[in-house]
Amino acid sequence: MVANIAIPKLGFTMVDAKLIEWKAKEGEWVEKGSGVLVIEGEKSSWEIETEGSGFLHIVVPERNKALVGEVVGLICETKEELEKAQKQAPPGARAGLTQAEEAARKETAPPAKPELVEKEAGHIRISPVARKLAEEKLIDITSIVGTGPGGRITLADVEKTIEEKRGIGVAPEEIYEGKRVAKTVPLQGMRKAIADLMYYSLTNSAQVTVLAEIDMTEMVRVREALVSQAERIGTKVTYTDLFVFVLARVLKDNPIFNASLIDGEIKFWEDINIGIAVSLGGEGLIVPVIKNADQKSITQIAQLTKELIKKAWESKLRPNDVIGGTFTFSNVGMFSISRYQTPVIVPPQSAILSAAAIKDTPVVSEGQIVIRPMATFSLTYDHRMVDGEAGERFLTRFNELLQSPYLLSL
Amino acid sequence: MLCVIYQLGLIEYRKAYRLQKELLRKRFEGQIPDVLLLLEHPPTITIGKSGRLENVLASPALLAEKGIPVFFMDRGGDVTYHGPGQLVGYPIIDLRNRGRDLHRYVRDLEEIIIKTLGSFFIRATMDGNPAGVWVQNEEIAAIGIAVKRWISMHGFALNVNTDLEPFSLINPCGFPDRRATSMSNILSQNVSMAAVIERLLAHFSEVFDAQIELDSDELIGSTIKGEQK
Repeated sequence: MVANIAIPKLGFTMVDAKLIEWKAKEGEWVEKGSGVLVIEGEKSSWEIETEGSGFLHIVVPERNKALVGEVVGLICETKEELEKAQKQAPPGARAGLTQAEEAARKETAPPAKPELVEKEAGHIRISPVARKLAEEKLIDITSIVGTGPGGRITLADVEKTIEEKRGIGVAPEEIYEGKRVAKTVPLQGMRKAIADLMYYSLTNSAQVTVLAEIDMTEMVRVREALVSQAERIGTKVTYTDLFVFVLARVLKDNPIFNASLIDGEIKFWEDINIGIAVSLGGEGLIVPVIKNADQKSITQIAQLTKELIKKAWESKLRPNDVIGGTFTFSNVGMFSISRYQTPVIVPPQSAILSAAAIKDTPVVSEGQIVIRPMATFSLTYDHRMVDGEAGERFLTRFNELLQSPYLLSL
Repeated sequence: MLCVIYQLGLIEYRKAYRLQKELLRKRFEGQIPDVLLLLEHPPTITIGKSGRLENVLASPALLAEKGIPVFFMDRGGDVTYHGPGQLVGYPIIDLRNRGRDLHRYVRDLEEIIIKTLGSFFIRATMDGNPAGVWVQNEEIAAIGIAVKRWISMHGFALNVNTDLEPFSLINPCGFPDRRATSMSNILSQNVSMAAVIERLLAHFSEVFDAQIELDSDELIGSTIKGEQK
């Protein structure tokens, strides 16, 4: 019996994954349930475990990409099956395709070895990186002067040629609809995943955003008190932790915000799993999930959040850390100038809340202008499920708890 | 399925390439139907993704002297020479309508060429593995395609009256012991390009089950003019 090792679909918009590491060698015996291949897909790394024991036959080697569902390896129960498999598809030979740019031919040609450099004088010699750029920019190889050993063309040589040609105006620049292209970057990886998700979310729901400004005087007190206890608690509590804690209670009282519209039915979720949007700088964003947030203490939420953010930055999040969210919270306070946002719901959730930084703001209280620490919140909900009135109730309850934190102990 | 044919005449390689990319984009977005570009290139050497540099036998200096540019290309296949007298065809078609079967597509292209040659009483075969069309171990047509988001580009190159001398500068499709040939070489007489095109279109229409239309300037012509800024 030969079992397939295929790329699992780990995320909603996942289409392919990169094979990072085969944990066993070609032909080696692997035990059922052991980790055999590490892949990177949908913003997290994943270890595939074998479903049975047998000899491993590698179909797609490391550092390659494979499509979801593509068979990248085989587990052969017997040596005969292993030999047969090895003959049919010698380790490393690929028949797979990626959805991004792909060249096809009738027969899978042997991959050009990256270090291959012609030894004979007179031939074109070029480094792989230079070749890639020359291909991208459609540079005539015979017009490049190679300054590497033996006249080898280096990346710098290609870049120089591009510059020179640009100067003379002979450059075959790329012109797209009358505009000159400076750079072309394919949409792939995390960027593509986010693009697809955002687009899907906005085109498949009726999103509406309401904005609120809330007095944080009480919350500031609570936080300062908790921070002063940081050593005893074991962690420094942040506003995000507090908001998540409060939100869990608000969601309990407003179940339509902890639900999903799926195939014409509204599913109200038993668990309250709050996702926290984490920005990864220019690399994109990811939303690790605090499961059962309503059953956790502030301390637990604070510890867990720190752990998850650290993992996110180190690209160590597992799929289990990012699935199962029923509501999402995004604190943009750390880096935003904006006071209000129109956050996009993470499908199939019904709402998302974002918060901007607390700012001392003049407000009117009992006929006087006073300065209060105000935070601004933006609540986007899916109007297919949630009406304006429900939105107001949500924010009212949220505000109530933020003004009178003692209510949380009830 | 409708397929619009556009004849570009003699066109520089990169110009045709950029045109293909623009047409591919438009095809993907559904702005245009399937397209077949028919054209010829000035002497040009291209190296595909699996192309090995040792298959370009001449030095860059010699090639520069002869005025033959060399480009790395994002198509499959090895090294190819293009030149006047060679009929180049770039079908830009949506393979999602054709069963998303790349291997079948390449086979269909070969079949079209083989049938076309048959109309001129030239017996050609696919000769097993390498993508291309062969007459007694000599390559008469090369095939190298690329597929982006299931839309094809690049295509085939059929030596009609091509001057075969420049082929000595390369190992055609990476085969050191194989040579190139042309229709006029086999028939020992010049062959009418127009006649070849006419036959090719007939077989193209038949194999791809396509309704052929010659383009009016509206669809493809405007794109070409746009690209020629």
